[in-house]
Amino acid sequence: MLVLFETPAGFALFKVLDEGKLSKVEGLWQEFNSAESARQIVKLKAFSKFENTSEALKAATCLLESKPSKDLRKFLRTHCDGETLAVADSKLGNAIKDKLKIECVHNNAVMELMRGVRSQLTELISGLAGQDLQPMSLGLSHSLSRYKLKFSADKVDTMIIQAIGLLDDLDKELNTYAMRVREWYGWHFPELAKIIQDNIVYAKAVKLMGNRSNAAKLDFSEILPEEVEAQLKEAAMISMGTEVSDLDLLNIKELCDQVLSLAEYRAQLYDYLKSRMNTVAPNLTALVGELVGARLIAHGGSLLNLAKQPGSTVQILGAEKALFRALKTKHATPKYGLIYHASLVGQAAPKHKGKISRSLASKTALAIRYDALGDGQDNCMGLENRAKLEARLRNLEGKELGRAAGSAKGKPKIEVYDKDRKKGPGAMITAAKTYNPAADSILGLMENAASKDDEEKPMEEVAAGQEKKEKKKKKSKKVDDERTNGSVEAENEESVKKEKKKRKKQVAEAGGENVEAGEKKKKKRKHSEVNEEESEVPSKKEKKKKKKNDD
Amino acid sequence: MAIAEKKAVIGLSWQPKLPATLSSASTNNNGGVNESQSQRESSLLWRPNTELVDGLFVPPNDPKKLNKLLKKQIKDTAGTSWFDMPAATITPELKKDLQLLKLRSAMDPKRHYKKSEAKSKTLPKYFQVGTVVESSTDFFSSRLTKKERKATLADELLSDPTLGQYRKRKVREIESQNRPAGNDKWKMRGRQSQKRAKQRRH
Amino acid sequence: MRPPRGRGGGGGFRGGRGDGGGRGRGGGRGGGGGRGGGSAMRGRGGGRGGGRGGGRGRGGGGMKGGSKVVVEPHRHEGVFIAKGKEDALVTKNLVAGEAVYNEKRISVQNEDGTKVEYRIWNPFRSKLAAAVLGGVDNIWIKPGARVLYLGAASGTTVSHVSDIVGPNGVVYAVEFSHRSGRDLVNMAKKRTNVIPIIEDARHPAKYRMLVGMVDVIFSDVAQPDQARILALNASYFLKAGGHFVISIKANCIDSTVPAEAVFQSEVKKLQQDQFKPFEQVTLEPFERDHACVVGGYRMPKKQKA
Repeated sequence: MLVLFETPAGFALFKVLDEGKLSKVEGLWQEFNSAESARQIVKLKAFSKFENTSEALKAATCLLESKPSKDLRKFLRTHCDGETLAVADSKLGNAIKDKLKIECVHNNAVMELMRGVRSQLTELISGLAGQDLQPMSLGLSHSLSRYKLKFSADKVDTMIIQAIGLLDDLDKELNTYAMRVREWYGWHFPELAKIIQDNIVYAKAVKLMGNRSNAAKLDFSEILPEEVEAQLKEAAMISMGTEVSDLDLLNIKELCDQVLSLAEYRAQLYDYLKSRMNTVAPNLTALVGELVGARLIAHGGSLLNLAKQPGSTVQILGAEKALFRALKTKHATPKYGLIYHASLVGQAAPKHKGKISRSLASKTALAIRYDALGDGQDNCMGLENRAKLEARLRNLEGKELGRAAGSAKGKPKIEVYDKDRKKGPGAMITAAKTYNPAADSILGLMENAASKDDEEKPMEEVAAGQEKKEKKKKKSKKVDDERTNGSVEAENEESVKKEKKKRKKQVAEAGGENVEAGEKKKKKRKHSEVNEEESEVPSKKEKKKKKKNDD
Repeated sequence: MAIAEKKAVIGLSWQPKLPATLSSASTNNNGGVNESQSQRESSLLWRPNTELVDGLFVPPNDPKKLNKLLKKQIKDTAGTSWFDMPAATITPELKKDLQLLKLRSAMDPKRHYKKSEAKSKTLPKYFQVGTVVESSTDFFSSRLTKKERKATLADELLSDPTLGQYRKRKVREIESQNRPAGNDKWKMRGRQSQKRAKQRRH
Repeated sequence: MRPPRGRGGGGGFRGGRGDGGGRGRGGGRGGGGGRGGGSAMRGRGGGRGGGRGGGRGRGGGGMKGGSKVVVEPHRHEGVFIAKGKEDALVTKNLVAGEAVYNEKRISVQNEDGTKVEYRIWNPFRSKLAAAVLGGVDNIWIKPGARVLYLGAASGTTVSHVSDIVGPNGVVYAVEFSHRSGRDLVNMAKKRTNVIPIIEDARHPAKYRMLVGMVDVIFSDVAQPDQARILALNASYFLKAGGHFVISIKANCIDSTVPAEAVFQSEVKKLQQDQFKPFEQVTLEPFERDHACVVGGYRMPKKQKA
């Protein structure tokens, strides 16, 4: 067996003299404790020197990609015929095997062997002292790292990261300047701040107007809508602001110029960022927009880094502080980070923000991977996913709307948020819905509701119903209020079926009762606790619910 | 051969060749050098009594004495582990500085130092006195002006105005503590009382 | 705004080692409040106490330019202490006349006219210096040693390590982030005993060509799998009977359990990989929830006499 060993000075090929020793991986290193014993195990067979640094660099970059360089191939061809070759990199071994048909091995024993060779390198390679090796590795490392830095893979990402950073800085600056304009000019014309809300328009108006006494003569139609203009002119007549000199006004105008030019520059930069994002990460952009996309990339360090993150991480990227605090204190972890500012999440009702941000994050993660690693250049995948997400959002909202419409008074029912409380009656609601058509079960329920003193039975019922509901929740997203009894029944059966599938022992002809009996075992303690205190509450609610269902 | 050896010995006393070789050897920072050095020393210097040298310098015959003499000429350093930091020649000013360093915990009530080093009275053997060079960013923030710069550590501490007050107060306190008890009238005060005291002593 | 610096940064919460991400180390650490540095901060005007803008962590306390100090050998080989109104750790500058990261220097005129220079080593910026001041028994990095430094960042500590090992030693400095790698390579240009390697320390095979057998591995990678990274590198490059020094940041590994428990579990992990931890010191006044573990690798069994 031969060993290929790479040094900064060149490639070395060692012959393994005693292959039996390789089987004992544990003790191998002791053989390399001294130069003499090391020489008994391996012997230098051939050495191919690099002629100059550029050659070494070429070989090193090839090795980084786990490919044998031309010289290495030549070297191996001449010296390595019909022998197995031990290599330090399995990928390199495969490449050699493919190209040169040389059998390669890479395992623990080989690694130990390499270690040993490395420790006795100067002894094993005669004519290569440590002092010679040092400048070689120094030169090679410098040129290699220079090469790496020069051909940095993620330089386009860097542009985006810098651009988004600058954009944020600009926004901050712009805001401070604009506020300064308002503050400053406010001494002269305080009413204007109320009339014009927009900072840029304000700056434009101030620049145009100068002294407020000019307002009446000027035409603001280019920058202001008509009614605002009228308002302004009126306010200018009766303003309670102090008089300022022309010199003061001149300086205020200069500041306005600054604000306007900054705003213009910001717009330019934003266009640049947009175009960059659309070329670098089109699908990501389609899903979350340029700004959020760019922030995500900036946060991840590069698109490739971001592509390595799972969707759950993408979801809370930017909320690390909250996340770690939550983890430490064992509270609920945040639902969203940077992704909160995506328009899809913004559209969602507060209740659904968490849900939609989770869906969006998972789709975003896919889009990022597609952008970073895929070949596609268009954003159709992102658009497709966005359509899906929008549909899902509508779905969520629609359900909510439907439920609201179905409530007794035609108003959305405002539920106080109380986890335990909500769960109990909620369970009852669904249970009622579900079991309503099935006469026996509803009867049982009614009975139970009626007979409060009977402790044991209703609890079972409730618990079972609750469990049902949880199952259902996942499954029946499309529940709406027009649901007929029939459909409910069908669903009821369906849910029973599902149970069956889950728990194979379940008998088919078992009615609701039977199912519940089976459920009982599985019932969680938490539920029972909840139900204990709420066993009375549901009965009332139940009736209400029934009414609702009827109409 | 013998002559050459003789010459080496003679030369040794006049022109310190050995330190030169040693310093050149020590730049290699090899542990092995010291051994060979000591070997060479012994072969160079130890010789039977019969050999006499007429001339300027007769090295003592006793090898112990000779080695002592030799050791004196080798420059004393902290060793290769500390990049051959030389032992400094202690001048009175330097000694004062070092003692001051030992006692620096008394200089400023707000600063605290490790206790251990203050306890041992021995002064360090290997040390160098240096001047802090500020970086370009510290030009305004952390730099002594030319006026504030002093030649020794002691001068520097003395010139610190904030420390001066504390020092004066402390001195006054100690003096008042050590002042003999009794009526103020009987205390020696001024020249007059000093004269009286002298008379009394005689 | 600080430009993003290496170490950490990268992806997600695990602080991957990519470039960019602004959560590098450095910067803020200086603010930690210099031990005993407080009273030295009398502003120049007397009344302006504590007015040393840049934060007290920098530049070795209140040693002002132009003040006199006495440089003495430290207990650790290759390390020195400068004593003046306050103490500072210093290393002998390999490239006299050059500061690497705007640190203060101490220039010494020897009796024979030669000039020597020392550089102040700030424990707030370097975990190794913090470990030294924390009282670690032996850092094993000494003149002539060959050191593999994982997580070199911009090379501030690496420059001091290069000072310590001197012209006969070698420091292989591994850093993945291109941003800080740039500074590292620039620093290494002046110091010929530093070999910069811009690679991921997770894949030692990629730099197997450059690195020879080393005596010590210093690891400061702040990654959840840093024990594995260290083990991997040790299996490639650390000689039998060599030593390791690893700085562990508890937060990087698990922020939900107390720091002590994290250190313990890390030490246990190390023990499984043929490491033999000797001692553990906390870097407390300088870094929060950090520990420095020092030990040996494949230590020879003690012969019973």
